[in-house]
Amino acid sequence: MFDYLLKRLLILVPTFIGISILVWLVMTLAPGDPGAKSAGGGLDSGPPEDLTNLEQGRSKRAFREKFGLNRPRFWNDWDELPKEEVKSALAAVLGGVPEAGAERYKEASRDLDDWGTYSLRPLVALLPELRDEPRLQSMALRYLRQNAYRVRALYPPGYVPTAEERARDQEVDRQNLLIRSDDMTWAIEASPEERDPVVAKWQAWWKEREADHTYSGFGQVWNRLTDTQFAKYWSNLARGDMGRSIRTNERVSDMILSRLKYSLSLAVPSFLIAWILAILLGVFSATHHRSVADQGLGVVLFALYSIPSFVMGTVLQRWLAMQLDIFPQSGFQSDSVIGMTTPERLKDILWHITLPMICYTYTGLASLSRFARAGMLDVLQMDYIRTARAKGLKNRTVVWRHAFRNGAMSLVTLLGTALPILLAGSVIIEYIFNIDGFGNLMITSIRQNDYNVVMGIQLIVAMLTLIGLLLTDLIYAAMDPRISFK
Amino acid sequence: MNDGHDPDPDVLPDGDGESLGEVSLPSWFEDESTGPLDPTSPAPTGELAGEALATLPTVEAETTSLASLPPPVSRREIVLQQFRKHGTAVWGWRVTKTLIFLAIFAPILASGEPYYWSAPAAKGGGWGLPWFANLFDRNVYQFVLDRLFNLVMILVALRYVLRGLIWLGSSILGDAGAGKGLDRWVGRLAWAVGGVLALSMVLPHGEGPVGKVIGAIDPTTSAPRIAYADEARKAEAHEAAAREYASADAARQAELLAEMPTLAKRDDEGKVLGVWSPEDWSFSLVPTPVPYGYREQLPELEDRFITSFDFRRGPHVLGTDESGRDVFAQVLYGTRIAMTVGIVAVSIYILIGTILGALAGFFLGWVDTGIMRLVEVFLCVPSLFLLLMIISVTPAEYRTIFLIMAVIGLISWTGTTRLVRGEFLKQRNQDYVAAAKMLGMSKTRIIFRHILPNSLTPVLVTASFGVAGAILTESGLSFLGLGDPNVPSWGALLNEGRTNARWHLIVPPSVAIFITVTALNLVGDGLRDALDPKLRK
Repeated sequence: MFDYLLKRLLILVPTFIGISILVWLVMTLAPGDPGAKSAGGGLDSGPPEDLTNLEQGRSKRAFREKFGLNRPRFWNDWDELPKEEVKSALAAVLGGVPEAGAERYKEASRDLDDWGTYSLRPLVALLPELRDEPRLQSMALRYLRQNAYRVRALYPPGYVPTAEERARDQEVDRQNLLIRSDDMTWAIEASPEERDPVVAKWQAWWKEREADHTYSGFGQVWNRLTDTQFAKYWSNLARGDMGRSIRTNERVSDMILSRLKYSLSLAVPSFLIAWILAILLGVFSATHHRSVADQGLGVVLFALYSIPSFVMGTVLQRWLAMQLDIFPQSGFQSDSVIGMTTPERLKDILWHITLPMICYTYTGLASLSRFARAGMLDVLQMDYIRTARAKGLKNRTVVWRHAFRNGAMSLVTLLGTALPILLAGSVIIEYIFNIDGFGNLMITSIRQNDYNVVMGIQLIVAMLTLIGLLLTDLIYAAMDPRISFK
Repeated sequence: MNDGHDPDPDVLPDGDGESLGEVSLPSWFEDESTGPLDPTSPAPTGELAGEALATLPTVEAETTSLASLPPPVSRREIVLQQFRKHGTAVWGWRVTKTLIFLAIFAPILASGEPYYWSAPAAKGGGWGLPWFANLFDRNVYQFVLDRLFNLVMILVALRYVLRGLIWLGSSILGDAGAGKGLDRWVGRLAWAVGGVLALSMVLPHGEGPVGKVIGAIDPTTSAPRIAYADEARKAEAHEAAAREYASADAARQAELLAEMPTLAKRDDEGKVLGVWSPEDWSFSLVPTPVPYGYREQLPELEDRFITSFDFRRGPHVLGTDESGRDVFAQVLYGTRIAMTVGIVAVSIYILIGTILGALAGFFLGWVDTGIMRLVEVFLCVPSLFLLLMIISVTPAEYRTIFLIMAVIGLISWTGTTRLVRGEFLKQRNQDYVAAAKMLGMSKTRIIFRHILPNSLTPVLVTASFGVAGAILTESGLSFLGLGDPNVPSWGALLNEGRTNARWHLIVPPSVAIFITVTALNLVGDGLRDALDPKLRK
């Protein structure tokens, strides 16, 4: 038993990794840049040629850094970034939208930001070469100063840094002061002769640090593999961190867990009701095989099976909630829920979720009862049932004690696969009835391009599905003594 | 789902070629005088089976001993025979055919272009056939799928007309065989012409010589050849004014003439000669039964939202939506979208699923392991979620109905893969596969020409349920507001009805979805039963 469980759990791991890679690939390889669509990613107002204003576009850079968008997806070969590429990007930013076109301008300014410290080497190398093009040289200097700037480490509140850490912070501060000092820059109208000493200072500055930014051999390959979006997302995920919402800055896992309770409290009871009803109807149909009642039931269930939940939900909402005003139109509970006693509140919630629950239930019912009926019919034709009847057992005993147990086996297998179906159903039902659950979160995040949340939802659903499949196997094995754990 | 219903391979003759082998063998032994089927002929394969089967009845006619043998039928034929005996399934198939018919011939029922139009005498006369002339117009049928469907409509109509003529001709001449041959050639011609025209409408018209040829073939036009809508409206207004003029007092008459100078007959210098009579303005139209396309909005801004049958505005049979577009036309043209989504998406995933399933089932080993792991990965992500995710990361300008079709096709192939793999596992150890291997046939040939045709019948069941599923997925997506906003989708209409709380917008798309899905599910059910040897009648 234990070995079996362990083996199953081990198989889950590659499957889960496969799912996450698939999901990640879909999210990142799709055309369009998630950062570009979101808050911090707008087009800058003009060329940042101003040598003093290094704060421009800082929030955008911080945003891209925070959400890991400022690195290549799989392979980071920026440690050998060619000068020509940097030069052309500088020229495009200098030319601005009128000369380079909006797309190219946006791309170039984004690249120059994203390259960060990787751009230092080519920029320092470019400085003397651009002696004849003062505006371009100034632009190179501007980005040099921007990208050389380092950020002090952030400590959690109450944490006392060690002496070593303090020394490192002081060094960072000293560096930043130096970089931002007037010695390391020139006025925009400065002549080449005035600029040369500054260029020399930058070259000396770089010489000191070059070793820190140079990779070779294994270290280079390692850096190229790890300093990527893919590796970063994965190292975070391995620590259980699914990132934060681009919109609300909430932790994705918190967002999902807080919504999941609404969805599950709707989906699970409805599914259980559907399951029990399906068994009852299935047994009834099978024992009254080919009677008028069986055929009538078959027609009704078939019709239900062909009505999608969004049609049923819309019709029920319009008819029962709006026209007849029996049920509330939407929501999980009333707004006045605070002042209610517990029974009142329970009643209020039940009142609200009746219609969504009907929608959940009937979809499950229609397909489950077909399986239940087929399973029971198979079992009722078996020899041991005939034997039981021949022994003179009561019909009820034969059906419920002998046939039912085996007939219900097929329904157990469906328990595990039900979860993804339920969660998929939650998207549409929660949308119709405006319940602030899991499905609605999915739709809102999709509308807002909040891709961290969308990915988190995918991963949680995949995990729940895998667990459901595992549980199914275990229950199945527990119910059927013929299955042994080997 | 279908595991319990898999046909027993022992009960069924296995496919075309092999059933021939089984049946012809006894005839060798029993009656040598009739001669066996030519033993030197190459091994019967799927492609030869048709011809070989066609020769069989003549053999049967010559011998008496063969009469006692079961007729040589393939599994496919058995399934079709069983299907025809399934009452509800046949009805489902009829409804499906009707829906496809409605999708193809939608403009005949609802189009903004009248069949026939003639200008009033006051405008100098003239007539035209705008419905026909503008079938391929970019401004009338803005969506390329509609123009393609119109092409199909014309070809299908022509085909039936020609078939009628051929039948008539051949019955007059008394030569049914020639008629059939000719008919087959007409059919092939229709496919070829349709294919070339459709390609020319879809492919980009480049600069080079190829692009020029494509541009020359493309029947798409860019300005309505016969524009009548404004003229019609003007003429209607004039007719009303002329009517009022006839019964008005002098002051009002002068007022009317001032408002509408064109009401008067004038000579070349502009001097008023008299007034046109209402009859002169009468504008003759032979409109389609519902004279609206799905995009045309009511011109008046106020009170656009017609919630019931209203003659004053013309026959908006089912009313209009919020922006004044006819609901009936939207539902009718929605059939085109639904059918296309269903068929294209399912074709894509049947293709992918069959190939992967065939590879997994034939080669086993690591190929099988890899493919099945992939299947497992896809199974654990609910396809609606995956679809939503893919749609979400796609920029809005790429979010077309074609992308939705492709994505549905690309993520739903797992079921087919498992099914085909199972069939291959069953078939790969059969004697005919061993025979094919002994004959030194290539693996590709064995897989695609021998095993695959025998494994495809169960896929039919998945396909018919799959079409229903794809239609539901697309409607669901549009319902959530994530579909293609430029196409008349049932789901989008339903969502509009939901947000406006209007029955006349909720009921028509609901009924359309229900009928379509029920019909397709009935077909699927019937096929599944037909495949089940236990239920054979």
